[in-house]
Amino acid sequence: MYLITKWFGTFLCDKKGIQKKVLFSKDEKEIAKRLQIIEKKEILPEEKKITRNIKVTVSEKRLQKIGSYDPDDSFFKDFEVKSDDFGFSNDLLHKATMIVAKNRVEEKLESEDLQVIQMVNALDDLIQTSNLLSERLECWSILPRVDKKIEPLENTFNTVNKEIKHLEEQIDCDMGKVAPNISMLAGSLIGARLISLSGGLEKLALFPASTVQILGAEKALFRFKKEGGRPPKHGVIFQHQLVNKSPRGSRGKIARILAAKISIASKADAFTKRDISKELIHDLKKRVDKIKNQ
Amino acid sequence: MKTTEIYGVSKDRNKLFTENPSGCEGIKIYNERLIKNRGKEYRSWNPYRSKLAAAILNGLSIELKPDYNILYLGAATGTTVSHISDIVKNGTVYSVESSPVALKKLINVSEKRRNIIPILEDANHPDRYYSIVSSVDIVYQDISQRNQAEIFIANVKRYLKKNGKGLLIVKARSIDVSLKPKKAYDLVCSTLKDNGLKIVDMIDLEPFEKDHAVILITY
Repeated sequence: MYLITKWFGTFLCDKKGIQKKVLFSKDEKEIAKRLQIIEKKEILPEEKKITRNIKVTVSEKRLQKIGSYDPDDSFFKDFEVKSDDFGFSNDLLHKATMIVAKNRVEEKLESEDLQVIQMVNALDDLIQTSNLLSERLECWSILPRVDKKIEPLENTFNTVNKEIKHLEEQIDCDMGKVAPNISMLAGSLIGARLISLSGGLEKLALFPASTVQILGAEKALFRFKKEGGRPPKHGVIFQHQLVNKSPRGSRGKIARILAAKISIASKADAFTKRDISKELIHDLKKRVDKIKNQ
Repeated sequence: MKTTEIYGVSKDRNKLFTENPSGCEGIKIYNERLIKNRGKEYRSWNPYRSKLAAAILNGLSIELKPDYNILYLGAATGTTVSHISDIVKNGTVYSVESSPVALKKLINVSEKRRNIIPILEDANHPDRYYSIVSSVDIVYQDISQRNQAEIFIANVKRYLKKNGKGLLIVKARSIDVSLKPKKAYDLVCSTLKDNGLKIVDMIDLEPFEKDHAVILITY
């Protein structure tokens, strides 16, 4: 027997056709509710009930617990349960998936690391603005001072600088909650930049350490891949004191070790949420000292 | 304005248009031009924004019907999806996208276009939308990932009807930046062939997109 679950019902089938079925009610909210359970990779109560004491083959990993998983079985390709046959319209599917998609998007966009990304990007914008304004003010201040003309610009410049400080504090505070291990190890600003470049804490955690090492040096990396030359040794982690205050010869090695530790820290922040920063900092120090004493 | 050999796509000089469905009059999706012609409203289809439009202008020939079901992987914000939705008026466009930010915009587009089914999932796992997607006439994929060929194959094998068509947009630089584009396309073609897909046509998207090609397959 094969178990096929579609948005409008769950069906036990074999080569002769549908043997047993449970149809869902024709209500978009009821359907959305079931799609949300499926999306969480859980088993529907209807599926449990219909397969009780029956051996089934399934085509979704989610259903592995109640049947043998074989998506390549040609049955799933040849046999189709059509919604029209049971009076379910595509309009109903549209309504239900809109509910599911909206909820899921909101859920995903709520995560704190997205706020951190926006803050870091805003910070970079403000720093750029501040530099531009300071250049302009420099040029302007050479001329005889006419207060009413230069003053508004000076005020803007001060406001921008204040906002930079404020944002830095805010990032520091938020990173302590979002990614405590990375913050302790690499500093909150570098950590925030890494999250921003990778597109999220979870994505950063899934990167290999070698990618973390050169995040922010994409231009140099692709130049190396296309035209040859020397590959970059560090991306934004260059901003870390351990890297930029070391002699040139050992920067690459230290960047590699730092990236490896950040990578472990990010995994802890994203998944286990344990505080392992002390051990990591200890390890890092030990290995960096070893390199410096070579 | 003249109809083209592709159903639902009109042409006026060098520009492509699709008919804005009733209920969507006056609504722009991505600031495209709206034109009235013989009492119907048409939306211009920008080949620099939509790779399918670029492929059609470069000579892609594919059969489309108003009741086709289409699986669109990498739907993004719905620029191309909206035009496909214009064409398959009575069909369905299952639009899979993994980025919540992009899907949020697509949901707005789907609000008025009831033949779009938005799905927030990763196309790497075709399992996960099995309960929503039925078998389809066309699988269309525009995903810039290194394993784009594998994603395409998995979805074609799972959802494409017998003798259905598949359209794969290949971004050469996603395959390997150090390869010449032509070599990258060949690499993808041979992966597709090894997995039993038949290659019907390959079209370069120059001058609209750099280092992109469309591969038309059947399975």
